[in-house]
Amino acid sequence: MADIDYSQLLKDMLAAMKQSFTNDWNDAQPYAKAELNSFVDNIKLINKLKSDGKITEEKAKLYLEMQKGSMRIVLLTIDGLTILAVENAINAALDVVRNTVNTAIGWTIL
Amino acid sequence: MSFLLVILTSCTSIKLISDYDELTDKKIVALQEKVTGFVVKIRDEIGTDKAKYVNYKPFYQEVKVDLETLKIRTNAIDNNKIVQDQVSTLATYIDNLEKVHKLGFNDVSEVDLINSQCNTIFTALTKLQLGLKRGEKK
Repeated sequence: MADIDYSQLLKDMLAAMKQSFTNDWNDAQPYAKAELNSFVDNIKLINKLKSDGKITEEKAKLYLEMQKGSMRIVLLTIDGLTILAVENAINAALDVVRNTVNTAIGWTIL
Repeated sequence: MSFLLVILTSCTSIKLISDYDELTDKKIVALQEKVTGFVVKIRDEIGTDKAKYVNYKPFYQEVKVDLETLKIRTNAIDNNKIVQDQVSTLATYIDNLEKVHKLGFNDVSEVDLINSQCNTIFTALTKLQLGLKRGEKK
């Protein structure tokens, strides 16, 4: 299992979300930061549980789906954002880290 | 004609979200209490047979009934797409939680993760409801 640069993951995801939200970024930024931080914490936990032999690929995928659900609900509270805009921003953030995370964890979880 | 259109447009605000609905708000609070109760209880049971899915089947059945009621209520309200999308996402979250539970919890950190996610979710749902109540959301 390769080491993951978690702070770089966060930076990359924030940059992708910023680009996706464009004009709504100022409103979305605090929520996006908090949610992407939680997402990175989730990846850290999965990485640790995998090292300890306490998690399966199936369960790891479900935890990330649940995290995405949390992100959707939070971002939808921002005035004027639609589910489509929120979904596009989440996908943009995940797209930029997909290869890094999947390769480092050794499973296709994103 | 175009002058009239400009006046009409400037006087009309486009409403993207419904007015406050007390019943929706109350249902969300009740659901939050049920889910929080589940998380607190199961955290103490990790590593024992009590934490097994079979013992929590009634919890998932109850929550699904509550979510269906909430879906019907929110779908019946006009201009309510944002709340409908939140409720629909919450229903998917609970489905995934049930799938995880069926696979079994092996570590307390898993329940802590779920607790943190649920707190975030219900805070966001409540925040939107409070915004609607104060008339801040348009």
